[in-house]
Amino acid sequence: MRRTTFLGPLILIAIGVMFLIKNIRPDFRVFETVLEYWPLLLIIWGVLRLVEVLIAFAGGRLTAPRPGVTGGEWTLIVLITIFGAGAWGVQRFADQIPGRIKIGGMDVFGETFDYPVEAARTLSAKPTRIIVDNLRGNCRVTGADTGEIRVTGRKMVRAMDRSEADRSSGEAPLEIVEAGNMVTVRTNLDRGDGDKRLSADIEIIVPRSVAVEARGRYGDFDISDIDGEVTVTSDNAGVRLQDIASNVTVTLRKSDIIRAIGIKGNVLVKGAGRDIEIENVTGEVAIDGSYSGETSIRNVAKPVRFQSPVTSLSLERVPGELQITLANMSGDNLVGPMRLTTKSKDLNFSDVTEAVDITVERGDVELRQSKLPLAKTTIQVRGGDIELAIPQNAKLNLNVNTDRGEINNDFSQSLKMEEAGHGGRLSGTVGAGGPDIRLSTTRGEVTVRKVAAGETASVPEVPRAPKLAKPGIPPPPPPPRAENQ
Amino acid sequence: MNHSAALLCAVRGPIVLITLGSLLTVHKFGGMSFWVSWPILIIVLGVLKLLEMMAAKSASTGGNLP
Repeated sequence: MRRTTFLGPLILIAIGVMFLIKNIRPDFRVFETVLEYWPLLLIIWGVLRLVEVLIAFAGGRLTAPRPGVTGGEWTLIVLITIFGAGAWGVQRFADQIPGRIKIGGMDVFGETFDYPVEAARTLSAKPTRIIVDNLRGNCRVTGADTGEIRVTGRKMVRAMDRSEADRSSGEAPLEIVEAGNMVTVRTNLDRGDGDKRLSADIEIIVPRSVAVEARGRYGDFDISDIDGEVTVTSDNAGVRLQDIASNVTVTLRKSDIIRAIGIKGNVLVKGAGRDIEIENVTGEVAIDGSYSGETSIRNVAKPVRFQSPVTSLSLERVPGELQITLANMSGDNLVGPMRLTTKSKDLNFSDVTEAVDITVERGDVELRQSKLPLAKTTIQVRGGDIELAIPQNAKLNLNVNTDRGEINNDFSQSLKMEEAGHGGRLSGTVGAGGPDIRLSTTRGEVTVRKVAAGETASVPEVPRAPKLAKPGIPPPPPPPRAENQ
Repeated sequence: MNHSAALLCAVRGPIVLITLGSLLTVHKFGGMSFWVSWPILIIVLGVLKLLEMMAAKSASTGGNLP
């Protein structure tokens, strides 16, 4: 027999009462209260069920073992717990956003009050270092031929009313503090208890010769025309640096873009983020971290090092261009020795001088060398095709190996082909012999072909030449290639 | 019929539910975090199971057989 329960009707009554209160007193935060105190519902639920069981037991109706809470109820309890915990999480996250956004609260979004910020200080001594400390908000630092520091901008305060905003703003005054050769510009947004509601967008003009150290938690940094070193440290920022005449260090936990253009020094980028754009650098470039977007490096006069959890790359110079995304890496006009180890990427390089050493776990590798002489080249792939394009008159010692796949080559007349299991080997000397070129894949096709006139990295990928049924037969000439970038 | 075992079986769900609600309430209001206190749920469940087994055993050895 189906047991009787008064839990269902009680839930209906409770829901009806909640909506009624909401309609009669819209200002009473009934749903917010439920979202806040939902674990009490579980307790009430349990107590009601317990009372039911005890009443049944006292009445002698509890004769056979049966669960006090049914499977369907447990499912509902799990759903309520997940939903309730999610609501707590969202609420806590919203509390951390500037502006005190409360989920369903009275002060949803609050109101923003703007305060102009302006300060200037003529420097008594010639400073060597300027520290900019702006916790939240965007900051632009520009070097100029000046003897003073000038700060302009605005401070945003989110509050329920003007008086609260005035108080919060008063607690966070802009300061320019001079101590010896060091000057600190700080917005003091961390002062007071309502610091999460304050942010400041400021523009600072500083003497060009100084070093700049910028710190923040959230907001972009835009720094240009500085002769000294530039250091940027933030939790979450977009960073744009232009015309810096010394070393640059950018350390970010999160970023959407890091752009450094015209740097006459070394560039060091650490942390995590999305896109990186580095151009016209006379020093070294080192990128160490985890970046999910596109990394683009152009015209770097000294060694370039890229280190991520899955990729390790070193180059001697990048006169041309290098692009790295999650799934691809391409480069044109690079100076080696180039050493690259990566896990899963398709690689597409052209005109890499000096030695090339590439190891890929999974991905296709295409290397086009249109210039002579060639240098020692080693390409090892675990799963993927290799395509090497070299000039017709190249001189090299070729050694190709695939454990499972075909070998196509344009230089068949002078090379020895052996079939081995599902794969094959191709070795021999091209021209009068030269540097060792070793291409090896565990599973994939290897193609050695003659480079077409005018072929470069900017030339796109096109469908490969049709595979041959038997290795050793020269493939038809590759189809003409079209522009794609 | 063993009434104690039936009672313990029936109260197990409500007691676990009350414990879960209490732990989450304590978590919400700044007491012990639920990520720390959740093993209490397993302990409560274990104790109830143990009591149930003891009750069933005492019933089977208590001469209730026909």
